Amino acid sequence: MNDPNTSPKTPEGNKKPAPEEKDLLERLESRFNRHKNDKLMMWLKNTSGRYLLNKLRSRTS
Amino acid sequence: MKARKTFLKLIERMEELPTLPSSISKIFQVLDDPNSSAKDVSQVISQDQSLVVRVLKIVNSPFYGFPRRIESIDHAVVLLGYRPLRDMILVTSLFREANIKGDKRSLDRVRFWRHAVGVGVAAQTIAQHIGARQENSAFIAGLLHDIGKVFLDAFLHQEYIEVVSLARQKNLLLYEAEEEVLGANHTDFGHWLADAWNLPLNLTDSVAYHHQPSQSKEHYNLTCLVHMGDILTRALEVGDGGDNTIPAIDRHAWAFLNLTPELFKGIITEFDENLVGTDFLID
Repeated sequence: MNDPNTSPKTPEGNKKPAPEEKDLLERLESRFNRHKNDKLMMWLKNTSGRYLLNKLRSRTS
Repeated sequence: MKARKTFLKLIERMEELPTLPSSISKIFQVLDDPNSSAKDVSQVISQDQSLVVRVLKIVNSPFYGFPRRIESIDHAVVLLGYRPLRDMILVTSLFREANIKGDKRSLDRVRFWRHAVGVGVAAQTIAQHIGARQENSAFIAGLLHDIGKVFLDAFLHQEYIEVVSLARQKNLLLYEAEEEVLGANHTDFGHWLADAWNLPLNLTDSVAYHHQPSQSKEHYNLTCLVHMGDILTRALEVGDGGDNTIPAIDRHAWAFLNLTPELFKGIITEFDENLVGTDFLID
């Protein structure tokens, strides 16, 4: 469930994220902060985060 | 529910209490009467012109997707059926009643309604995916689940500004901040309202227990759907429930609904698609 492949990633590995993506990643950290030790919630954070990042990228590309 | 005394003190602080408009109560009497005909229903609805406009707007929305434009209330009553019509009138009327005194220091109404619609659509989408027979109830229950928040904001506005501010400062869930400031939370108040308005028990349960689904004895399935719908809506940042954090998934609810990570990924995509065409509820 704690699949590292589902973690929201910045585009092209180490490249700096765009400001909107950085905002989104920060919001995710803050919103899920209380669930750091909860595997199911961390899975939800990664899965929904990846979905939102993809949506953001498809809007801005 | 919180200690009864604390809760009654909260109610006493309100200068006036929220009531259902009398025209709506009258319509419900007719809709709930097994001897009433479609003609009786359309007659009583037709006495309230703003309601006529709302009902026609709803049945002609993409959400229902009827192939031809519905021009009359008679036709709308026959097409929708009594129960969905009753639920839809209830929701739009409550939204209107509570749509007072909102401002950006407390609940931003447009973003809040977007959250409520999101939870309705999410609960319905989950119900469809797991083959539950409660798709329509799930939608309405999701729409109504936070009704306690808007009425607390409308009737104890200054204190509610403090609630929202505290939740934002300390990154609390709104119900945690409500308990700190008011001594009771929106599920307590929503439960009280739903009882006072004699709402159907399945809706009352999901209003009262969406944060603790295990406390719902009679309508556990529906309450679990709303609980998961709320979390999904927050995770996908649809609207704003008034706080900036996310409640934990109740493991029993997750297991009871037979959810799996794989299934949930499909639900996320479909939920996003199902949200299209629901803007008519926000207007």
